[in-house]
This record gives sequence, C-alpha cells and structure tokens, in this order.
Amino acid sequence: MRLPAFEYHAPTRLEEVFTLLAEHGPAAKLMAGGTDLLPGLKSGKRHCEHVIALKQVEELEGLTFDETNGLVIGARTLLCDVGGSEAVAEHYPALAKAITTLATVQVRNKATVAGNLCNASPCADTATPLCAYGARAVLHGPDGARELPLEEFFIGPGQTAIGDREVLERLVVPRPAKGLRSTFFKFSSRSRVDIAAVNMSLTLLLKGEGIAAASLFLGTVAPTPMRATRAEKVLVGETISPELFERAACAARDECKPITDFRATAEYKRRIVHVMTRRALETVTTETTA
Amino acid sequence: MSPRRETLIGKRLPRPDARAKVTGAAEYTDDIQLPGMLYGAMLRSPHAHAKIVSIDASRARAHPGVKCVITGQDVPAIRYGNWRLIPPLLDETALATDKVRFIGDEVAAVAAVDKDTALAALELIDVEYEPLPAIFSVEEALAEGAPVVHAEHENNVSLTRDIDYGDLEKAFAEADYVREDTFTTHPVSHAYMEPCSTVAKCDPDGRITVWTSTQTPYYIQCLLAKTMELRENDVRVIKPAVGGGFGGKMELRPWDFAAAWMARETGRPVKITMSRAEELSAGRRRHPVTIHSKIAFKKDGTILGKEVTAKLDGGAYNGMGPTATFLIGNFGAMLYRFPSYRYRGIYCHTNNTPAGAMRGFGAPQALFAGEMQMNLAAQELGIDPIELRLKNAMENGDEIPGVATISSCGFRECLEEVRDLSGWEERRATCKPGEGLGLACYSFISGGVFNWFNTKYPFSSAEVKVFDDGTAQLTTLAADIGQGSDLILCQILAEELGLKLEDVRLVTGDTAVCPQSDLGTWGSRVTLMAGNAVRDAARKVKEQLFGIVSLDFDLNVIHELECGDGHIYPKSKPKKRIPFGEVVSRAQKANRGEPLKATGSYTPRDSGLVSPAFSFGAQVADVSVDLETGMTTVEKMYTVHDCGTELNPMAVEGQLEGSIQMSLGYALSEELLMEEGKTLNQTLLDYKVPVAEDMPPSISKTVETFEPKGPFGAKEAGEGLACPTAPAIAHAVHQATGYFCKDLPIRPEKILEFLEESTE
Repeated sequence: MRLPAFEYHAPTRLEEVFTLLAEHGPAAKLMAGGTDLLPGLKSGKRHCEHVIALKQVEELEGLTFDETNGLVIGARTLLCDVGGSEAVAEHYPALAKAITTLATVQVRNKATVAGNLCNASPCADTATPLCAYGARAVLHGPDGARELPLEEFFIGPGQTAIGDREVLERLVVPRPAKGLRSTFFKFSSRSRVDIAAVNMSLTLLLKGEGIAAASLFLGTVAPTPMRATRAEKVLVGETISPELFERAACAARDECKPITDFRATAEYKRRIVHVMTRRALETVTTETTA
Repeated sequence: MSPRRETLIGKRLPRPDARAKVTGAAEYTDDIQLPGMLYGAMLRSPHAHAKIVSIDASRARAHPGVKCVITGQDVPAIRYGNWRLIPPLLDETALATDKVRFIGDEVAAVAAVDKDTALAALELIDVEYEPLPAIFSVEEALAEGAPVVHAEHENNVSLTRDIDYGDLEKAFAEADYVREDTFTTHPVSHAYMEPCSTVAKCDPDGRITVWTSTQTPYYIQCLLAKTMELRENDVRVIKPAVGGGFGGKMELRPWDFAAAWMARETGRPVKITMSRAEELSAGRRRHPVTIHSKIAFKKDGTILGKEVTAKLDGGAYNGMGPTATFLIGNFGAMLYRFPSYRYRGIYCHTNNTPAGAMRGFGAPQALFAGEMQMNLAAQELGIDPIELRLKNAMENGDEIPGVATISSCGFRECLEEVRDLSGWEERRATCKPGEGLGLACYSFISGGVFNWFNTKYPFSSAEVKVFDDGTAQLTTLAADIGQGSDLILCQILAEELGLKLEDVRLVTGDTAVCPQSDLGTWGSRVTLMAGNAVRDAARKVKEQLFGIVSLDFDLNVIHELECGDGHIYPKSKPKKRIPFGEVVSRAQKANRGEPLKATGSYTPRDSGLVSPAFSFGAQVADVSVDLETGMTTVEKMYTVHDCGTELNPMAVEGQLEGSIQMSLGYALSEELLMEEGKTLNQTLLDYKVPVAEDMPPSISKTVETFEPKGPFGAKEAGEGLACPTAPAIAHAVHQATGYFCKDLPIRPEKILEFLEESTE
C-alpha cells in the first residue's frame, strides 16, 4: 500500500495534455481529483509512470445552467460545487442527492464528477442520475471534439469510450422536460460513508395519472451502470398504481445482473433492486413538486 | 473561605491532550525520525500452513539500499509470550523457523534506506514452502485425524479451563424449565486509528531503546530482553502518544523484535510501521467463539444453575488465549446468582490469524450468549426480561466461589433506572412491526488479579515528588493509550495533595525513568490500580509534610491535618493555613536539602482470582428494521451503569460513546471475512467500522456506588460498556422482526431469510 513513484505533469491547456498523452501513451494516466486513481496506484490495482493532472487545464473549467442548453459541467468541476449548485438542486434533484450523499465532505471537496465517471466503477454514484437525465459526454482529442450519450460512455468496469488521446472535456445535461420527476436511491450497509451496494436513479414524466416517459438506471448490478429497459417498458403508457410499480420492480429485479461481493450477495442485491425500484416509483409519484 | 475545600472528584474535565491530537501536533511512534534511520518491513507467509523447506535471502541482501535481512535461521528461536507463568503455553517465535501457521505469519524482516527499497527487497527473498493440510474452524480443529498446528501437541486443543461449583445435576433435576442454546461470534478487528509502529535504536554499548505503540511498555521491555538475549535493564521502552489499542497492543510483536535486532546488527535506528492491510489481515483480533449454554430455572424465574462450554478459535498461536478461555467462564457466571455453575473452556489452534485480547476480553462473547439466553428464557417463562433479571440479580457481598467477591454493586438500581429512562414497558407495548426495544446487561472487572505475566514488581507504581513552588511531579509507567488515564491520575494526585490540576507535571511512558513497574493498560485496570498507587505515594509525601508542620498548630493528633487549596491546615482551623510550597521548603531544609518524594504501589490482595472490583450496567437499544431490506437502524441507546464514583464524568461519557460505536460495529457491520485462512477485507472501506453518522443518540445515567477498593470509590468504565450493546440490539431486532440472532453479526440477509421462512 505504497504510492509508487511517477512523474507528475500539471498542464494548463488541453493541447499540452494531448502532447503528453501522445508522448507517454499507456504509461500515462489522467487525474482529476485523484481520489480514485491514487488509492488504485497505492493498492497496486493500477499502474502508471506518468500522472497528468487536469485540475489546472483551463478548457475544463466551468459549471453553467441555462434554459436552452441545460447544465454544462466542465471536467475539473468539483463534486462539492455541483452538489452545492442551486440550479442543480432545482432542476436535477436526483443528481444533487447522489452527490451530496457521496463519500465524505473531504472527498467531495477534492473529487470531480468527470473523475467519478471516468473511473467507470459500476457503483459510481453520479453515473445513474446523469444517464437518467440523458446526459451527453463531450470527448476532446487532438482532432477535435465528439459527443456521445453518457449511457454509451461506459464499456465495462474501469473501461470507457475515451480514446487513447482523448479527454472527457465536459458533460452536457439537457434541461429536463417540464414536470419531470426524478429521484436517486442508494443502499449500503453503513451510512453514507460507504460504497453503494446498490444505487439507482429514476425519472418519470406524468400526464395526469399516466406515465408518458420513464428512465431507470441501476448501478452496481451489472458491469456498467445499466438501463432497466424492461422495467421502463412496463411503465410507459400505463396508469400509475401499486400493482404497476410492483410489476416494474420485478422487471428491474429480473433484468439486473449483479455479482456476489463483500458488499452483498447477488441474490440480496436483486432483492434491494426490487424494493428500491418500487420505493423510487412511490417517491416520485407522491412528491407534490416535480 | 469555605470550610469544605473544593474537590476535583466528579468534575467535568476536558482532556489536556485533545488539542494536540486534533491538530496533529501529538507525536506518535511513526512521527519519530532519527539520524541515519532505516525503514523495515516484514515478509509474511502466503500459506495458511506450510513447511519452510528453505529460505534464500541472498538476492535481497545484495539489493542496493538493503542494510539488513533476517530470517528465522539468523536469530535465536526463543519462544515468548505474556503467559510467562506457564512456559509451555509460550508457542511463538518472532520469526518462523520450521513452519508457517497462518497467512501473514512473519518469516523474515528487511531494513533498508527507505521503505520502498525495503518492500522491494521482500520480493527478493526466496522461500520454498511445502504446503500442509490446514484447518480453519474449531470443528475442523477438533475432528478426528485433523492436521496438528503445533507438532509438539497431540491435537489442536492447546488448553482447557474449568470452573465448577454447586450441585448442577440437582439443579437440572429439580428445574421446571431448562433450555439449551448454541451461540457463535465472529472475528472483528480493533481497528485502532494508529497502526502498530516501532522505532529501535542500539547504543554503542549494546543497550537498546525502543519507541513503540504499546499498551504495556513493561511487557515489551521484559520480552524484548528475553528474545534479544539481553538483561531487562539493557532494554529501554518508551511509549509515545498511542492512537488506541483496545487490547491489540499488549504483546511483544515480531516487528518490535525485528526492528531492535536489525538496529543492533546495523548500528542504525530502524523503524517498522504496519500498514492497515497488515493490521486487518495479520493483526490480532477478537476470538470467534462457539458457546453452548444450558440453563435451569424454577417456574418463578429463579435460576438454579448453568452449564457453559466455550470453544475458542485461537488461530495459530496462544497469545493471550489462556486469559480469554478463563474469562469467558468467569463472565458467564456474573450478573446473576447461579447456585450451581459449570464451565469448560476449550482453546483450539487453527490456521486462522491468531486472536488476542480485545475490549471486554471474553465478555462480549460470554455476555452475548448469556444475555440472549436470558431474553429467550424470559419470553418462554412469560416474565418481563427486566423482572427476570431483578429476580436473580447479584448484590453487594455476593461471592462466586473461589473466584470473586463483589464489594460494590448497583446492578439492581441500573435495571430499575434503565426501565424508567427508556420508558421500557410503554415503549415495548407500542412498538409497530419493524420496531423493537431490547435489553442486555454487563458486569466487568477493574483490573486483573491473576499474575500470569509472573511479574516480580508491584502491579502498579507511582513516584510523587513535590517542590517548594507548590507543584508536584507524578512519574508512572501507567499507559495512556487514548483512554485518558493520564488526566485521571493527575486528577487523583492533585486531589490528594490539595493542588490545582495544572500544578501537577506528569512524567510517563519510559521504563528507564518510571518506577518499577506497571502492568500497563488492559482489563480496565489503570484507574483502580495505578490510581491506588498514586494515592499511596501521595499519602507518604503528606506524612512527611504533616510531620514538619504539626508543631505549628495546637493539635491533638497529627491526623487532623489536611491539604487543600494549595495549603496545609488543621481541619478544625482551616484559616490557620501554611502554603504547600513553604512546607515543602521547610521539609527539605530539615532533611539536608533532599528532594521530597515517595514511591507508592498497588498489588491486589485478598481479591480472589479475577479482580478487586466489578462494575455493572444495563442497556436498552431502540431499533427499527426495514422489513423489506433487513437493514437495522439503531434509533437510540439508553444506558445506566455503575462505575463507582465517577472521577471525571466527561471521561466516562467518552468511554460510553466509544463503546457504543465499537459494539454497533460488532453487532451489525464489522466482520473479518475469512476464506481458507485469508482475510478478504483488508481496507477500512471493506471492513465496515461505523462512522459518526451511524451513531445513535445516547442517553445515559450513572448509579452512585462507592467501591471500597478503588481510589475515591471508583471502578472501571472502559470495557464493560462495550459488552451489552450487541445483545441489546439483537434483542430489539427480535421484537422488531421475530428473528432471534444466535450468530453474530446481525446481517440483513439473515433477517430476510428468517422473514421469508416464517411467512412460508
């Protein structure tokens, strides 16, 4: 558990980052807050000879919200800033909840949303709400920027769609449809200072008593944050009722693919998915404000 | 001026070391940097049980920056341990010689110019192992034809302990109600904040100085001298600030030896600090125990007798196991009047990581079994759990034949008060599904009587020196490891001499400076034993001072003098007072300028086998259980306890809070997950210690008793409180869910499984 030696680079422009990536190739790792990378290096689960710190890169700055473009989160934005943003609390309550209950104050003051995503842990707390709100990831490489749905950003545990020379520059989260209801649920055996055994985010658009749209993302129960498409199908077009919620919860339980680990057995996680899905549906449909 | 002087006893006094610890200014062992210091690391066995065929350290020795490598072949294979009274029980050598017996067993040590080099060198030590069949549970250990962990024994039972009194056969024959239950408990870690650390230095004359994070500097001195083949006086042990011990730092450990040996070899200081992974996987832990308990009652709830068998999984070595084996039997017979009692404790070797002392030492396991069984019996007998206990509660003057006599006991009051405090009857009657209230009780020792370390010295000692500026110095080896005993001992001295707390300077934690000796911090012994030693020394100083001034007053007898408010005065005429410092000055002048000092000591006498004094308490847990997820939340804890005189209520409250935190983990979230001898959760992310946010609100009250054997009537408050929490929570979970936990911890999966089975 010793931090191995590495060369530390602190570029201030994306161009320099691209140059460094070209120079050092797979021997280099990008670092934002470092709260995942450094423990990974210490434990020997990760290796690198060069650490390229992104916290001074100007192009990665920024946290803005407006009615047309929605929310833009620059890659160096800290969790505490996103979690403390009034616009996020108002328009993206599930994201606000995920962040304000993530780890500890000390970690949130250091870690970034982008880092949480790039670490690509199946249990990353910010992944499910951002996916549920339809966030898009903007990747920037030497040949320019490209955009893809965040859902497609995750490939496997620790693996993302970022190319060898690319950097996750920012996240763009569309302005939620008027009246969209959303919530984040997390379950762990200790209080919030813990890695989630199961987490999930749900958004729901109601038309009267009918469900016009639903988006349900589950964390920790598959190699990547997964969309519970079957549960969504159960819901969309139907009228809200306890029976419907139970059917959707069963669908989510049956379609998730958890593994047994220290945190819980696969069987137990499925059960939690079932309970949490139903409770999430109950919560968003009984809330008075969207 | 008031006729009664102000007292420090019972005052709420904050810890003087708190600021330094919170701001990072306190110096722990790992903070020590010495010129030319080398950094050491331990090579550990990857096998649970294997023969060492050969070790070749030549590649490591040749590695640049490596200054020393030692293996079991390079050092004398001296068996050591705390149980010096019975040498055959000593079964550990600092480094493995012929065999390794658990994953993490120390095989070799390296000292190098920096830590990275030391760690790299470990990889270059070539050890050829021949794996042997291994055993990982008491059942496997006791099975016919099981592999034997220690070849010199016939089987894996390293020792047994028996307690037997009264007519048990008659009790069971005459009983209206008998029940038998088996309980099991799991291994947990002390999880102290400061991992073990040692710095050793060798003087040119061959004498050794060791700074180490320990609860017991004197044991380290004796055992290091033995393993290094030195005289005790050639080893000096210094205890810097210690970040918690909880029983896990009361033995000589291989890194203490390795640092000292390599310091002597190289002539350079050597530091070895454990990583958290080493602590969790190879450090001591609480014994997993299987307890079979059979208890006999009359219809009205009167206990007739109890028979207890405990099988301890000791892991690969004895360590402090013999004490645990006895104490489980002792604690099984506490709290209630058992007219007959029979206990057999069986200590088994396995190829798991060795267990050791941990807060409550035997009591958390014994009381989990005992208290859960009382709760089951109460239910079956149709008697309220508090009533059942009141019916059988121990009282002042009660005796456990041949073992202990109770010299103060507020147990009955604790039960009655906790009933009121928690609104027991009303709350229990109004619990909704998923809510519950549970009860458990404890009794605990105030220091141990049995001299297993075989010391030739008093159990506690103190030297008190007074000065003509009206100040005093207390020198003692009593070890503050974070529990706050430094403050308590200074408080006791200031009270006895009538000085202010800030007038007392404390010198401690150095075997070369402090009077011989003190057995250290364990068994909740420090306040009572070291406190009595301080009082003894202070009284001797006072006698000298009183003799000097007695003629100044028109006194009938000298005993009419008193110290208070920085003066000495006759009790009847407090206004005729002389400043304390002036009396010291006169005493010195009258005695050729000799500094005025005295040494005091304490060794228990006529106190049975266990302890001079026993604390008592009752605790109620209010919990809610999510019936769909099985998650338990402790909503509130109510505690009423008897620790004799509360010398410093703030310190007592701190112990209670810490006990609840630790036991919450024991009950619900903490468990060292084992697979074939390997500890799977080796980080504090995966080993789930409750954090501040998990802490329930706590309401507590103390019952006033006066313990005649304790200083100013005080007895322990450090460990007993750590025992009732798990059974109280488990009892509450039973009311909430119907699930009765007999195997800790209370995992949500177990509750759900029960709920599913009971609805089928």
